[in-house]
Amino acid sequence: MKTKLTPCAASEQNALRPCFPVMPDSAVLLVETADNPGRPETFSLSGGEVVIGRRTGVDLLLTHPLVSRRHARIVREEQAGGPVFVIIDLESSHGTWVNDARVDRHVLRPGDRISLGRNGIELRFADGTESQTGARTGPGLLQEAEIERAARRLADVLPEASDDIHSELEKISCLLDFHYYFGKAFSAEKTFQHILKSALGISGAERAFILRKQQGGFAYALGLDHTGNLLGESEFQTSGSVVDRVAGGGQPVFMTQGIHGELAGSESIVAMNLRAVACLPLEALSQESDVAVVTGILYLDSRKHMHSLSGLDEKLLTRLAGEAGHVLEKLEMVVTLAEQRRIEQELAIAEQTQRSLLPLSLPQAEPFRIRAFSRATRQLGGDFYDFIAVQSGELTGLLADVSGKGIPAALLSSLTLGALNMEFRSGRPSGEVLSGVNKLLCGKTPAHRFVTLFLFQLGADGRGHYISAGHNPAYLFRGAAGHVEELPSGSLPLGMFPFTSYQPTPLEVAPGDLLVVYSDGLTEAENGAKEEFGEERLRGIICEAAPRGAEYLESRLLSELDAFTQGAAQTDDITFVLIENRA
Amino acid sequence: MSLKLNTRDVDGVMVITVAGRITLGEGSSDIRDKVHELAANGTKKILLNLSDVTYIDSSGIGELVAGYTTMAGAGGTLKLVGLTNRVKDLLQITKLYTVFDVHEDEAHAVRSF
Repeated sequence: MKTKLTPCAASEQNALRPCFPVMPDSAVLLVETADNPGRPETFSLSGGEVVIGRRTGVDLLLTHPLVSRRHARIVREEQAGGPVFVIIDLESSHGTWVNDARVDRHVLRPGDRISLGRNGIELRFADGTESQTGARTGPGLLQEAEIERAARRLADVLPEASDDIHSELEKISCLLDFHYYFGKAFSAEKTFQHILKSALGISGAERAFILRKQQGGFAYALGLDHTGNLLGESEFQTSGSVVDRVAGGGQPVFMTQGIHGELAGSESIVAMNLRAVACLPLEALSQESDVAVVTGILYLDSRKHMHSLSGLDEKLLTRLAGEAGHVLEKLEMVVTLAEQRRIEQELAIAEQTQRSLLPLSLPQAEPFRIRAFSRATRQLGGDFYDFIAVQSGELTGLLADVSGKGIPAALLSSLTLGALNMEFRSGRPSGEVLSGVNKLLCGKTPAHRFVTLFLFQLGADGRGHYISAGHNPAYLFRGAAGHVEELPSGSLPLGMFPFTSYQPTPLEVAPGDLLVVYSDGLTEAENGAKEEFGEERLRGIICEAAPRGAEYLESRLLSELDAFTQGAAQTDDITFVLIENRA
Repeated sequence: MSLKLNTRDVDGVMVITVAGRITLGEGSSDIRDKVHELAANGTKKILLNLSDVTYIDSSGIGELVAGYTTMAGAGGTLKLVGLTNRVKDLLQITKLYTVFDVHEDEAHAVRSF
């Protein structure tokens, strides 16, 4: 497959863009190939993570010799300046290139040109406002490509046409019409209409119907007569005996020159005064096995004789029925996809709600240097962190992990964060704040939903306390000693038992010390071999990188994590907060 | 592998043997539902045998807690036996071992009711 490069205008645009990668909430990839020159397809990046490659099962499937099976992935990361999209090469054979430079990991800016393999297939990264053809999700993009391929296969039968040139030309034009509409205007009704029109043209029948299999039999999908008028459901009448025979045996029935045999006496044939009937099964491969199942019927009839169908005509009709079966199969998928998209949209809304919980900026609190990071899974998870302004002026931060995933987790996050802010506003000490939040959560949520939380409060002198409500241990790097101390949980998670008390434990983050609070998504991140990142590895990285400061530790953690997981699917939110005392 | 539950009566204690993964989605509410059903039928003593649990996540821990509170609310008791290291670690981290009555072997656990 040849590909065409996107115009170079992208780099000029780039010059006008701000250097700092401030991103709007949505972003897209514009994909231009030889099949759609000048009209790039838009691929939405609204999901948490997008894997690009040429093997099925990836999110964006691109067939090109330079594209590896799993080539690169794009993830959305929350950084202090706002969300950014990062492209990470998945050890592809031909490399991932951004603006002609080979990259392993690169924060994308609007206008960036991404090339998979040097001079390979090119994508352009843009913010959501640049969507030209309407944002489409990946499956939609593939869907259309697949349908176009199916339509092209249909045209393959044409060279066989040979005997009567004139009538064959008509048939060919019928097929081309079909092809054209198939590719351009894929809607159930239009596609069926063109299948029927082509079938009427080939057969010379008076009426044509497509029936779809439904529970308990075959029901009307669409009808058309030879003058091009739609036949409504009220006019829907087919010979039941013929349909039954085709549905049962899976073999087509062609009786174009008068009805004979056992069907001649059939009540419906006589009542409808039919002289000719053609009825073909529409087949699709079943999901479970490779056995073809009848999913619909293409039914043609006439009170006059139809064209005398030659072997080729039968072949064309059979082929048409085959493609119609394919369309039915696709329709099922389209319906499922539409449903899937609706769910994805709902999730996106919930995700936005949850993201809006994360603070837009990190507080300035001398002498502390603060870094925070959160990468959600594609399935909405339940991590969040926040910094709360308290009357005493102490730096008050928290990181929480809500049990479960999806919308319930997002709602519980919102509830917890709202309750925390409300309770802190009362000016009460943090232990009482957590007791209050716990009581509220116990009253509002079932016992199997809970929140683990690590909360810390530090004065400018580095002294303060922490409370861990069932949260995995935080780590405190001691700059003077060069070792890591563990800060274990002293109490039960929030939302389980109403009478749990939350007692603060003294904490001092002295000059040169660095506090690492994280969610277990970090230590339980898995590589392809299902091994966990682990606490030992995390402690090792902290010991080595913490002396060079919070920013360095953050970037080391992220690069070590990516090097470890090698693009294996993320199963849980990964969140951490780093507090360095730079006094 | 999804979750499998097997319930039997041992000297008046309903022992529920849990096998598989207790995680979000994979039959995760089965334990909660089972305990609820037994409590509704008047069962006061439940022992969860977790020795065949291959994996548990935080949602799974939530299920154990839900079972515990259901029994406590019904005036009964729910105890645990046969914790794998993974379950032990999670109960340790979340401080839940201070809540659950945990036993090493089943016969001993049954006698403790």
